[in-house]
Amino acid sequence: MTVSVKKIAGSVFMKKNATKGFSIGKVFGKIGHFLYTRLILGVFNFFKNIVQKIFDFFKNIFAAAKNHPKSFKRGLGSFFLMGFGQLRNKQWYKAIPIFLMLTVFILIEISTSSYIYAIGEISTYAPREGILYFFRDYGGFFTKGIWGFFTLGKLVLGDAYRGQMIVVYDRIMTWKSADNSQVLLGEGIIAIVLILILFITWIFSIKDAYATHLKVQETGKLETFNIFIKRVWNDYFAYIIIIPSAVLIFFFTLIPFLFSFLVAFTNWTGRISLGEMLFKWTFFDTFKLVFSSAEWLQFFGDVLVWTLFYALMSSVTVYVLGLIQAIIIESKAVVFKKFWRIILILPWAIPGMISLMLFRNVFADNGGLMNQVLANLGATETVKDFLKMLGLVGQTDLEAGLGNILWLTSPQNGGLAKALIIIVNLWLGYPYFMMLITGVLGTIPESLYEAAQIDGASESQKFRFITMPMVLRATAPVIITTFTFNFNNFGAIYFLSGGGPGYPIDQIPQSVRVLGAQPGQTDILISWIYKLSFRSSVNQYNLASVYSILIFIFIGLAAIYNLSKLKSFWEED
Amino acid sequence: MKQKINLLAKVIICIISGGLFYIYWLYSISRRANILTTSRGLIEARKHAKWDFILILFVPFYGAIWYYNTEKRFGQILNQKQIVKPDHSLLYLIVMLVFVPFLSLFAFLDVTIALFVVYAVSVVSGLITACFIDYDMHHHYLSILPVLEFGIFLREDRPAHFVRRLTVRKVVVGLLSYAWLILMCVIVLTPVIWMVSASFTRGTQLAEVPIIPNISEWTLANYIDLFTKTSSSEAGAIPDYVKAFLTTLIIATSSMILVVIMSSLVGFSFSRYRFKGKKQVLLTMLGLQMFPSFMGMLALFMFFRQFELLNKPLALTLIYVAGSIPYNTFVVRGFMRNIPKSLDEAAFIDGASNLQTLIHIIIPLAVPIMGFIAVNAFMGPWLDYILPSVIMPQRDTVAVWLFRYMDPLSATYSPIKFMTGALFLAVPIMIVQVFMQRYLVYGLTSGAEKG
Repeated sequence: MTVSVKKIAGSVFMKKNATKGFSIGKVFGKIGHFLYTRLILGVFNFFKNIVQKIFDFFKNIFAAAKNHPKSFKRGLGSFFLMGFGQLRNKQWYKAIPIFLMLTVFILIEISTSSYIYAIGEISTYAPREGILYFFRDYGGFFTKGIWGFFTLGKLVLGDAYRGQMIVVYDRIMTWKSADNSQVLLGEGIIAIVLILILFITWIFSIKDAYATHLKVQETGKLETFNIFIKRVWNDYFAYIIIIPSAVLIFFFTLIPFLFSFLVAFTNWTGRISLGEMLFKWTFFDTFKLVFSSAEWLQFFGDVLVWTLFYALMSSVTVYVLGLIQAIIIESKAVVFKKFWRIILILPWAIPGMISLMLFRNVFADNGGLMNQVLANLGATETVKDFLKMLGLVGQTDLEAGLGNILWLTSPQNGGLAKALIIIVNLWLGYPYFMMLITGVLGTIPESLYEAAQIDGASESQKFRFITMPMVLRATAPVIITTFTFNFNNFGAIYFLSGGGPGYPIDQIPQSVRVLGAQPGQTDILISWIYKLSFRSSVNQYNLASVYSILIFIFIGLAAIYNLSKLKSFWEED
Repeated sequence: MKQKINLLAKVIICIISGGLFYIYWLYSISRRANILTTSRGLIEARKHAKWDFILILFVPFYGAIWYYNTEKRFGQILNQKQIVKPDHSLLYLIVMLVFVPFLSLFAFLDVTIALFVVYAVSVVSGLITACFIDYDMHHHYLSILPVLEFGIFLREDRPAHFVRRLTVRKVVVGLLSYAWLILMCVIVLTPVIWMVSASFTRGTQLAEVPIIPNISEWTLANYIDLFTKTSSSEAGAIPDYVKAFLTTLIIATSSMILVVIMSSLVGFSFSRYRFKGKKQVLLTMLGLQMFPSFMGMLALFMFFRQFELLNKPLALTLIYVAGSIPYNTFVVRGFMRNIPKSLDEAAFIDGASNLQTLIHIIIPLAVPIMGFIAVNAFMGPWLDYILPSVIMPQRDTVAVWLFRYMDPLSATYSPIKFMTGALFLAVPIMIVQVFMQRYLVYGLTSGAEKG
């Protein structure tokens, strides 16, 4: 069914645009087609598969219970006690680790809990105050984690609770201390993830107990310990060698990202300080603020447009200059190729952060190299007029009257700062493409040029029809990678301009200025997010998180589109 | 009269030391050129030569010592063609010992003139040498000394591709090309030279740095500061910069080792095996590699505070490793997919286990890409600012140290100090990058090509 839907929809999209005949229409048609086939159908199929799988799962269980009742009993053994089915199968080497895992989980839960006090305290307090939050007061790591994840804490500093005042942190009586939403959220995520792992092991143990018994009945042979170890080592080698990396990525990348993701659905900002206030699940409130308030939308629009423009320009200019350099150095007219190459490669060899901060000094207001040179040449005013003519320097640039050009700091000179960022990025970035394209030029066979020579092609024709296509074909994927890299190129902005200059004060709406959350004129999305979350006077964690999710969606789409073109990614060898 | 003789003596010493300087320079390079041209078929020797190249260029005698060692091992092949006979090494040793007076020149002559003369002499010697050199054997490596290439260009019997017919068009195009290249060189070099000049300038403010470097007024005060100043009041405390440097070195080295081991394992797994969930994991990694690690920093900070790992290099190392595995996995996977599977199959038939195949067959072939990863993983931590500033608030890494001097709002604002520290850090990195560029660029593209 899905296939036919896909075909029809695809043809509708294509036909509509084919009749129009506009090339832009075709492009949109293609994007629409892509969105439809990859996203809508993908999501639909995803849910369909899940429902199908759940259905199959229960069907299989009933079939198993009916056809192989003995094996089913083994599975049932593991269902009630992890590892019991394995023990009945006489596979102690499986039963012990599985059972041990369960034991460790239970031990953690019990050792971090205070259930033993519960009975005494309940009888003391319950008649008077009532037990308000059982898991909060007595729960162990897992139960309290889940409680914390869903409630994000209930009690703050100074609340009266069960006849006592809540204090900041009390090692002896946990229920006396104030809740800390961030810790509760973090521990909640870890607890839930660990419980999921336990759950998966549980399912696995049930399946394994059933399948092993079935196999023993069929073949009459039980796998010994040695053979089992050997089989696992050989068959699951691919898994075993990625486990350490997976664990690292899981704890140091995935869970932190998940935490940041979830923060978008709370009202956590820097104003909510430790113990005194709690933050709550507000679900889509922050999204609503971002998308319904004109002020925020306008800032987001400005930043997004500049981010896209910056990413596009910085990839294209760098590529073009790299191409020019490579062609000039490789041309026959130039000798001492290695000499030129080594000098022109320098910007690539100097670490990026250092050269960016060096340029911050070069364009410093007082004593920067650029201003010094202009002052010594007596050309400051001329350059200023020229920049004014280009529209890069504002007309009301009062500070500029003092003499120096304020390259990166004056609110009136936003255009100048933006231009400088692209130029500095060009300085930093062209050598990489120069080297890349030099390499490609070396692989173009000389015979092609000779053949063209015989056919009477001119130099420009040779360039257009031989050099360019070969270079483009080899480097096209790199351009796209550069684009996505620049989209998130935090350092290029932060170390050079720090996001500045800021907007003129009268252009910042009151509601944004109160929070101090306005971006600078050269901030791209990622550096704005950094400012939102880590500048100590701002700390709008939930807003930052919402914008990260938007970036994620944008880049994710670009990446999937890029990948769908790369066949080699999908095909197996 | 006496003054004149004095000056003459100085100039003669200059000329001699310039000549010696040149000979030493040429000697180290010709050693390498010799090895590479005579042992073309011998992969082993070339592999050694690759890594020793930088040492030969910059460490006195290293060429001679290395040459002896290599000759012992691969003697019969090396002896086929030789320009510099090995028994001349002792002579060069003596030459180098005499070379020391060249340095003492700094004491009694204007440094600017001394350097100028020394380099002028070595350039002239280069031109003279070029007249007698066997071009065909050396041309590939002689371009390291542009002087030699130019000398060969001037020769009557220059190789064929130096000879060409000049037309007006070619002259114009040539002139334009050179003008463009010189312009680009000026743009590239000006800030760099300004930075060098700033690091040798007395003072703390940018305005005190002259536009045109004045070598005679240079001072080492900033560098001495760099290696002596300490903020703690204890006696014998390690200077701040050195401390930051060592901290970063620990982080960089440990994360390099971990990243190389882990990402080659993961890359191997993804390039060789089919298993359930492979595509999902690959897609996840692809998504992860696009985001800077600081997006999860809130949680990381809390996590490390909970386990009291703040201000410990271990915490930072683990984040770097976790953050760089996804990208490196793609690079390694792309490389390993090009290693033919028939090798694995042959090993399997001979009874090798998975682990043996990995260690004895795949790893030796994947050394270039692992080198690339190692260099990248080692470089990364040196200039990361965001993570260390949050995760290690009380222990500086080099980048945090540098950034402190660039913050106009802080009390320690001093751009010249920044320039000194940054230059000291950048020079070794630059040398490595320039001489390894071919491998680094190769690594960058090999991952991208195959997706």
